Amino acid sequence: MSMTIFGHSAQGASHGRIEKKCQDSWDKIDYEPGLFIATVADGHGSDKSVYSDEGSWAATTVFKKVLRAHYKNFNDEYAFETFLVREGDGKFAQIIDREWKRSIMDVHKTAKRDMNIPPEEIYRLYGSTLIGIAILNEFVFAFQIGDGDITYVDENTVEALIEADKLLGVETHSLCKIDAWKRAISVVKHKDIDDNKPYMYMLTTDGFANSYSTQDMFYQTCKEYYELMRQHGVKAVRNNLGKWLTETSYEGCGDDITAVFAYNE
Amino acid sequence: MANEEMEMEFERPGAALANRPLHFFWLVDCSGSMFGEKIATVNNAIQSCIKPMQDAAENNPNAHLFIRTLKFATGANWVSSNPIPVEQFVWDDLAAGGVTDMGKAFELLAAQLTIPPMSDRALPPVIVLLSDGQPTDNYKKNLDKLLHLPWGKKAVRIAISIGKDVDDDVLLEFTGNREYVLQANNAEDLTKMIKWASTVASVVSAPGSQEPISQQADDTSMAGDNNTGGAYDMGNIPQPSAGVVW
Repeated sequence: MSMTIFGHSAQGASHGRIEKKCQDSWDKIDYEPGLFIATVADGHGSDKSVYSDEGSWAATTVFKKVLRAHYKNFNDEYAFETFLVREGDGKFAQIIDREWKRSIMDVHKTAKRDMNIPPEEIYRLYGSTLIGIAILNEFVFAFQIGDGDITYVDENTVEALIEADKLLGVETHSLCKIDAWKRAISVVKHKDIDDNKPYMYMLTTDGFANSYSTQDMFYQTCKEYYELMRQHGVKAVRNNLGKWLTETSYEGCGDDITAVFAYNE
Repeated sequence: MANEEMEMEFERPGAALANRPLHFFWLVDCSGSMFGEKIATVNNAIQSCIKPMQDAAENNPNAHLFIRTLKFATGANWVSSNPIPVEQFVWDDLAAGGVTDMGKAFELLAAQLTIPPMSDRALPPVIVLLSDGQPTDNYKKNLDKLLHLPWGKKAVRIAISIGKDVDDDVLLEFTGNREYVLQANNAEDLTKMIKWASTVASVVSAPGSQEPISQQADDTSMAGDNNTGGAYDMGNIPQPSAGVVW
């Protein structure tokens, strides 16, 4: 398996108009033997979540650290898989929730911001969603709190790796809610994939899908990104991704957009 | 080869891009009691809102505003059967006469808020109900149906209560939020309320932010939450004047 992970966060057209920086974050681990991690978080960006860029950064950092720590603790892929199957939306989600909130309190305190407000109001200032995957030799684990898409693409397939509740409008589940972990969903899927054939996982914030009229058009787009990499290599996408995501936001829904690709060739 | 790839120009992959549709509905009571100054004020006020709505929409290319009008009196009818892009919208003056079949209006509206014809990627619809009376038909069943539709729940529902003979409890059932039942005591109030309601489209279409789902909606999401406008900071909701009351 030769996995390449890359991505980009583009400031949305709407934030560009008011000179507000992009509220999304993404991160990856592609150096750990046997483990690849890709994660994306979408800061809410509203007036009530003024530090959501920091909240999304904390979300991706926590996801990466917690997942990697568990992987190293188990030191056995089968045992790690069993844990994630049983506890992906349970104990693991609770740890993510707890560590994100702990991280937010640290950030808030370090920045000398107002501590004389209830914790739930502090969390709200940093509100963010979180999606992420871990790709191992035998399985892939996907995790999600709030909106966003994790899509699997190969020569014959385009499908959601994990299906989140679709909340209409502009509302989402969020790490900033008390007991956010209860709204986490996770899935473990065995990789009955031929690793010698190219395949791709694509993680995107909701601004990406919302820039297309239908789910089919979104899937068509995922497929075309895959085909482009397959025909012309990863650089064909990586070198243009920033420009394309900006264009997608300006001609689409206007939201910040992040796309992360884990492409196997 | 690598250098060649770096230098090659590629078109952005993918399907055609689209902004998010926002559907705005005027639901206008055209019963006999609206005859005269009331319906004339409605006609004039909505007419005067069109240009500001068009201007606001033009400043936000990431949403596409569509407007429709539903009138109800004895029965209910769409003034236009299809959503009209705001840039093409014109107001045809409404006339008053008949009873107040509000339930029929809710039925027609509900049929348009299902998915499809609504897209699940739309922005929450805005529904502005104007009435000066009480429903003369059995409205409850159709209102209940409307409020249990996914987009019915998420719609920003505003009611303008015209004069003193309105059954505000019905309007409150519709909005689910007392703040969104606006009292219009006279022509001046009614104009002010209509103008304010027309600006809600630009609040809803202001993109680029999300809101965590409210605890109430989250707790009741399986049981038909009634979350009108909860995700928006409307601010500046106009208050009625102390002057003459219709």
